[in-house]
Amino acid sequence: MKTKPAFLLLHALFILLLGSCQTAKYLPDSTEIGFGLYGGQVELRKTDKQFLTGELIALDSTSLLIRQDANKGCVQVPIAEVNNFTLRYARPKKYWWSVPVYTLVTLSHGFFLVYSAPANAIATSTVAITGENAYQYSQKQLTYDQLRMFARFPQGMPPGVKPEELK
Amino acid sequence: MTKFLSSKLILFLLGLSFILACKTQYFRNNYTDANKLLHETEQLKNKPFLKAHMKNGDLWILYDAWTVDTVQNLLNGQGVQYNHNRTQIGSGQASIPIQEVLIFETNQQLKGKENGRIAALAILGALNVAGAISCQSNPKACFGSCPTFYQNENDDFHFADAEGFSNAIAPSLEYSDIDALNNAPLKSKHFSLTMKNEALETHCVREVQLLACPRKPGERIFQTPENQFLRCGPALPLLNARGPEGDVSRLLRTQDREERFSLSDPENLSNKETIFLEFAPNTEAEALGLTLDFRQTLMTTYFIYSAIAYMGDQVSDIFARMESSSDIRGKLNKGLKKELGGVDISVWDENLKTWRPAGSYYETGPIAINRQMLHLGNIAGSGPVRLKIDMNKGLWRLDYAALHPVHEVIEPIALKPTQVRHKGQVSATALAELNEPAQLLLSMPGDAWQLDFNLPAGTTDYELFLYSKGYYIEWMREEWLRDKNLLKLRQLLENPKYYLKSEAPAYKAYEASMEDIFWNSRIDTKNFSYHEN
Repeated sequence: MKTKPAFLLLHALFILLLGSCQTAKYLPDSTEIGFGLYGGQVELRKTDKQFLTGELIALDSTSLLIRQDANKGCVQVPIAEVNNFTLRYARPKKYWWSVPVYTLVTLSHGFFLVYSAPANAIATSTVAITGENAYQYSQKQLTYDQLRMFARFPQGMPPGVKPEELK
Repeated sequence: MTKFLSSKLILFLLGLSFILACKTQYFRNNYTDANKLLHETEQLKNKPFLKAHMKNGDLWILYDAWTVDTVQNLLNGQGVQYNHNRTQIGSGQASIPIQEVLIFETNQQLKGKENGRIAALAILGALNVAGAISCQSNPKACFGSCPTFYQNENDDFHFADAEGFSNAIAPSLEYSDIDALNNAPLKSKHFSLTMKNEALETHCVREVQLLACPRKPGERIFQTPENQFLRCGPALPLLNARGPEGDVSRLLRTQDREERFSLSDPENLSNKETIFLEFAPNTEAEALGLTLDFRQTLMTTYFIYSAIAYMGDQVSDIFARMESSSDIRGKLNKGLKKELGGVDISVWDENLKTWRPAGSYYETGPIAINRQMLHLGNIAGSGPVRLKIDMNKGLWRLDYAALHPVHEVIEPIALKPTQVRHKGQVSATALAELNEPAQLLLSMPGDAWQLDFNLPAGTTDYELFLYSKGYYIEWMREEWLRDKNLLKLRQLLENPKYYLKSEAPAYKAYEASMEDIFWNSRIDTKNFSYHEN
């Protein structure tokens, strides 16, 4: 195995990018999913390539109501315009710390660093990536009917509650 | 990729994928009917928390002692009430009319979701610690020595093409070294080499030059241990090679890095062994040369590191004394080296029915394979050419042996580097330091220097050799300080025969793990020489 500096640099940049991803604060910890108060975080790509992310507020047979992250307000998205979605239902455990820590430990392996450093980088990145994606469903794993259960209002938008008033 | 590490790595990554590949887990249920909720939760030992989603958007979260009163149609329990914005608006004992609830939600606890990842990190952590402990207890097996040179800058030490002045562990021990690069036919007039410092050492490099010998197709130029350069013809086939373990012909027939080696004698580290070689008859009655591809095991590295460790906290005092005393230098350089000896070659004299000594190979260093030729003179005869190799057991690794007809002695063209690059930047200073013998280029751990050479115009191809001169300073390691033993140092310097006998048990224990660590990581991919016969 040959360790190329460009590969390691790209790897480090990739890790920095992934590690810097913020998880929505409204998601519960994985041990508290039984009493989470809000809807899951839905990441949605529309047929027009537009990308939306936010809390799933409600879902009916024709559309989804999403309260967009970064206080961008609510938006109604027709199901027909959804290309694919991912639903995150709990905050992931962060393992990104292990990538630099484990890789640095291989400095103590002398010559064998040329093998153990990339092996550690790959293994810890795999752990970190799978950890990041642990508490989510993709469209392949969840029907729209099942997706409804992860909305803040699985019963549908309550009468008298206006989307723009939601916090 | 190495055999040992590749198989372990693949196993680990497969295991990792397996333990991380979790099945999709569904943990949430919604009920619109209280009876169904009751029916599906009545068998549960521990009732889940219950979320009641109300018509008006409120949410009740009831702790695990909730009940459904089917007579009064009430959901009873202790819990907390939130409004549609999930602000808490109430808590305590609640009796909620079931007709106000549109959805009942239960969630199973997610169990063991992180177990795979935690296990993977724990296993990897344990492997890392084991590796670190192994390297700390056997640093000689994990940390290299002397400058290494590469034709391909991305290669690691397993593919080093040359290693420079391995014995020069002090300024006063500085010497020059020539190594065959065994280069492929050249297609360009520009040639680059990368010089790396892959150890905890300071390398002081006085000179690096390329020695170029013009060659025609089918010709090889080999270097003798006395640094003569011989133009040679095609090899005579190796018919048979036998060591104490039996037939070793397969290991010595090709330049494939599958080497013949043995472990040291458990009684005495200076005990010798013999290998017998038979080549096809020299029917043309030409002068012959034996080319041998060889390198050392880690035995000499062990002795060098042990000597420094025996010096303990007096290492700098002893090295300072060595600088001013040729006596100590002589003992360090000659005593042990003489006792261990080189790779000694003898030729069978059919007329006298006896073995005639023909010369010896010696190059320190376990990393790069040395390729040298011993000029044997004319061994004419109708029978096979028979040679004998005597060498210290457990000290040498042999990859290839071949007999070539020697045509003439030639003078190589010495070429200085025309450009030096460090971290991608051209360094005029480094170039001046390498090309001015009064100066030294200092190379620190982790440094890599790209040396560019221009070959003479005109001739199409050259056999290349590397000339390097300098010395290096080994960095003292904390773990060595506790090994201070001046008595052993004295034995090593003044009575190497006794030292090699008394040190055998310690070396054997070390050799077992050291050889395992170092050589199980040997190259797995069959790596044929450009010039394989």
